[in-house]
Amino acid sequence: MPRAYFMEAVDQRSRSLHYSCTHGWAALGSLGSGSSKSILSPLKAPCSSCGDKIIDAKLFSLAHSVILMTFAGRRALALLSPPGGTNVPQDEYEAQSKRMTEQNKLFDAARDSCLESLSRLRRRCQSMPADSIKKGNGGDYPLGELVQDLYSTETPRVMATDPRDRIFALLGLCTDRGELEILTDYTDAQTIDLVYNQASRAILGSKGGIRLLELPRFPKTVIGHGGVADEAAAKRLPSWVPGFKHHPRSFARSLAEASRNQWLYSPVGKLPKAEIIINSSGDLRILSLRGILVDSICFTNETWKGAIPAGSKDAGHGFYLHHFTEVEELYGISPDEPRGKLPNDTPRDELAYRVMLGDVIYEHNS
Amino acid sequence: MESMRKLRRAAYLIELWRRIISELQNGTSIEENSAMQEMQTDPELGSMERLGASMKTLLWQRDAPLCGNRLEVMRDKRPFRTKEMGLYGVGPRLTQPGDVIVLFRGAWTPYMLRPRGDRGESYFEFLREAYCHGIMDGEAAAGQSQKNASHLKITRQLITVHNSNFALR
Repeated sequence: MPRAYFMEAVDQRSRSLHYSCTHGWAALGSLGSGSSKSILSPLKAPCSSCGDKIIDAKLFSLAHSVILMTFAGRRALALLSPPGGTNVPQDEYEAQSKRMTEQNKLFDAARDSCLESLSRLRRRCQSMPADSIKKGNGGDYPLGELVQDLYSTETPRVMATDPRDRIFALLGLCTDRGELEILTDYTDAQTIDLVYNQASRAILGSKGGIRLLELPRFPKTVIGHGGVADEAAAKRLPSWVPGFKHHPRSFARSLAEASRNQWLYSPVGKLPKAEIIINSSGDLRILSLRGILVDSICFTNETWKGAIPAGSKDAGHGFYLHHFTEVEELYGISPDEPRGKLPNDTPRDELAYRVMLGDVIYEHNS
Repeated sequence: MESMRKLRRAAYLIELWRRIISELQNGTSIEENSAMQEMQTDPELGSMERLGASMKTLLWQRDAPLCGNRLEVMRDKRPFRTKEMGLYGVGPRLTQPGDVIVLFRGAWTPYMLRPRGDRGESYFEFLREAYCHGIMDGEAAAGQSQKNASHLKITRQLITVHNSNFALR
């Protein structure tokens, strides 16, 4: 349900706040086109709008506060200066300020909720002079990063009536929309899986976008229209495209967080940056990436059970002992043709605990 | 007899593991440190027997939450062993023999893929990220870009697939 009047709101900036107030749920769309984007350049591209009440009130109030901090907001605030000083009629001024008080209350309620990434964006908008939002000036918040922050979480943070807004609504918030070439098309031909596919491809091709591969999970689930699981769309989704819902954190990310937010691994060393090869067959489901094939798996064992269940009488020893006997089993197996040795010849005992800790401790000590 | 030996060995490893975590969290006490050195010099007999059952339980009660936190990150991960190099690591729950570990250019972790064939064309199914000990610091990639002597074995191993294209579907 694209809302054409956003364009109108963009042209007459002082009205942008008015629109976002009266159509609260649409604030994010108006934010994207009306304020932060229009600071960069006079808006030419069609703006992205959110569907009906797709963003919840908390999100809106935050977006609203972003608007307040940006140019359009400041213009609007100027309009709202004390009566008599401007051409705003008294009653309209009172109505506006009443609305703003309500919004501010909402914002205060949302401030301590789980929306760090939007607050982060807001802080960036606040601290940046308008012309430095241009790309490359340290104010980057690419879509890939935004998607990671919003969807790499155990609990859902984003709601959308139209699931395509899980991408489209973010376009106005990211700073690399211009390079991504994601078209906001709400026609029926653009199915959920097509939109997600297109977005994933665009993100993967952007700088640092390869980390999108931390998101796809099995089994694939897609939240369809109205928040109902869409199994057909999930089936059509290629294995490398995430469902853009809340995905449990990748373990490497969890480990990085456990060790003071340092990323611990650099498995590709100095290999050049990610490279996507355009598929000759034109099949959009296929993604071609360059890389190295390290080895294939020959033996596996039982999965790790995680922490000891609450209320267990066992002090933990017996529970974890089971894991370690499995580790021993794996060690006992000789590979078919052991052609190579571990490059750093890690002692066997050390290997056991280092692998199970994801090598966190080693990094701590070194 | 064999199973007893395995169990004792596992008990030794788990004790070592607990101490490492405990040390990280609490700092090392002198007693524990020396006990650990004993264990390292005498792994098969270990100090588990010497430690005494009550002491053992006590230590486990203290450290179980710490150990649990660490293992929680690894929940549902499947330990694996690789075919050619015998590398050891943990992959996603769905990992099964035949899956492959790849390093994509520019990626931050290795990934697990499943080779698939469909009407004569081959492609990979994307599974998830993996931890594979021995390649996490660029060892495999170093073998690719610079002929480092210590990595020659890996290089020979990998040279045929240098910069392959991986078609994911």
